[in-house]
Amino acid sequence: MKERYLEELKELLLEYNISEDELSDILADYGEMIDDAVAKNMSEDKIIKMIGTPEEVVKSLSEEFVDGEEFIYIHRGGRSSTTNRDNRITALMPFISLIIFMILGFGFGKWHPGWLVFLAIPMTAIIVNAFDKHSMNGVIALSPFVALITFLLLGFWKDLWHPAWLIFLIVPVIAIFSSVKTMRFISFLTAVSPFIAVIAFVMVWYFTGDWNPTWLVFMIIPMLGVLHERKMWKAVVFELGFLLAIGVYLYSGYVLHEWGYGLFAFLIPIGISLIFSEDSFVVINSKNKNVWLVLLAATIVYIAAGILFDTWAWLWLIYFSVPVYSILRYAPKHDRLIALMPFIATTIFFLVGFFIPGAWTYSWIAFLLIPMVAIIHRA
Amino acid sequence: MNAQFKKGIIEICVLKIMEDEDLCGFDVIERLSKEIPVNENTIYPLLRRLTQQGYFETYKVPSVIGAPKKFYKITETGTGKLQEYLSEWKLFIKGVFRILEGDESK
Repeated sequence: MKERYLEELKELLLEYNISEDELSDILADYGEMIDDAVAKNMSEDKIIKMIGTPEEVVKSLSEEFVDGEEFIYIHRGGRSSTTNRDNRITALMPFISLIIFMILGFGFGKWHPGWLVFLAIPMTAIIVNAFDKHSMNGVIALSPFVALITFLLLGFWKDLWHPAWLIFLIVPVIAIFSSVKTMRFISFLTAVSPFIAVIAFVMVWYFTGDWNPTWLVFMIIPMLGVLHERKMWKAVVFELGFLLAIGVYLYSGYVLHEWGYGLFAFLIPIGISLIFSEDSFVVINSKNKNVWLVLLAATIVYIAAGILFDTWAWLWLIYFSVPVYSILRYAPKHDRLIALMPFIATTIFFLVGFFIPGAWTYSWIAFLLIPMVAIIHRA
Repeated sequence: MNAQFKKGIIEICVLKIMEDEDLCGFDVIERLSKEIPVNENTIYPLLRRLTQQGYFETYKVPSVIGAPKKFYKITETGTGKLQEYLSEWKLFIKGVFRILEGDESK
């Protein structure tokens, strides 16, 4: 227990800018406290309750070391203080952008691509709030905008929509390489695996024209992910599940010429992960009992309403009640609205698109609610 | 109870229980949690901060069962701070009692 605890604590502390001496001092102190607790025959649960989970420890440490408004333990994810002057610039940017847009439009007839100027609004907010000399947070946050602008410019002016979209790969790449120092090797491999998979998939698809079964390359993502499993036998079971599914899928496709039915083979790894993962959802216990009840209720309503009123096509949204219930029940109060927004936005998007003819073209605007609520909430 | 207020009181308690005795981290947590309802996992970070502020110094004692144990010893600065806190606290609590007992004029 001690090794696992200290390893987790170390990983979390590495997310902060603290010196190596301080890190090893804290780890030594916690190691000593665990030894003392074990010597007094305390159970693992009691020890954790006493010294806190690694997450609680890191939270307490970072909250303790506050000098005025400055956090002394600065998260590499960035937590920088902003001044009133910075906030004024952020608040003024929408107006400045609008003025520039009007000048470009009325003055030079450049409504398009003049609208790109509005990207300056979120970019300014990121530069002001997220740039921190201790982290690459600002660069990471800005990368989608840089990628988007490059993509649009190459697309509109050179008609290079393809392969210009590959520029978006800089977003995960920058994020991954910014934290490579603090990652374990296997975490690094898992993090870069989607990137490798996308490139491999696009190249093979581009040159051979075969997307199937090339897409199986994406299976390296979960296959590397399960290597984080601490128990070796579980990792082996997960890997075998994936290999079996891939084998059955290929057999079904190449030998039986049934690619579609072959997809059912992937229920094997899904089933395995549901059964064997920690806090398994499949095993009903006091913690997840209510979630199961909500799922049951949603299924009854979905089937009953489907039979009675033929609502099959849209009432599937009722299944959102399961994650929504979990969020309302377990998420911290201040994060609830943000966590709920993807479900609210999807519901609005789908219902508007489904019930109003031709509304799919604009119902996607509902998704803008997600970043808008997040920005307002954190302002 | 207000978290910041409670935190301040716990800080005084940590200084006080180590006024006459050097203790290791585990003992500090155990002793405090026996006496007052406190979120135990916040004590070590507090102890660490007080040490960095110079109110405690640490030394290690060889242990027969494992690595040397780290003990915390209150410094002169720590003792001075404790006295300052205690006089402020006594004055404060005296005023609170006067208000609660309804004889503010005294």
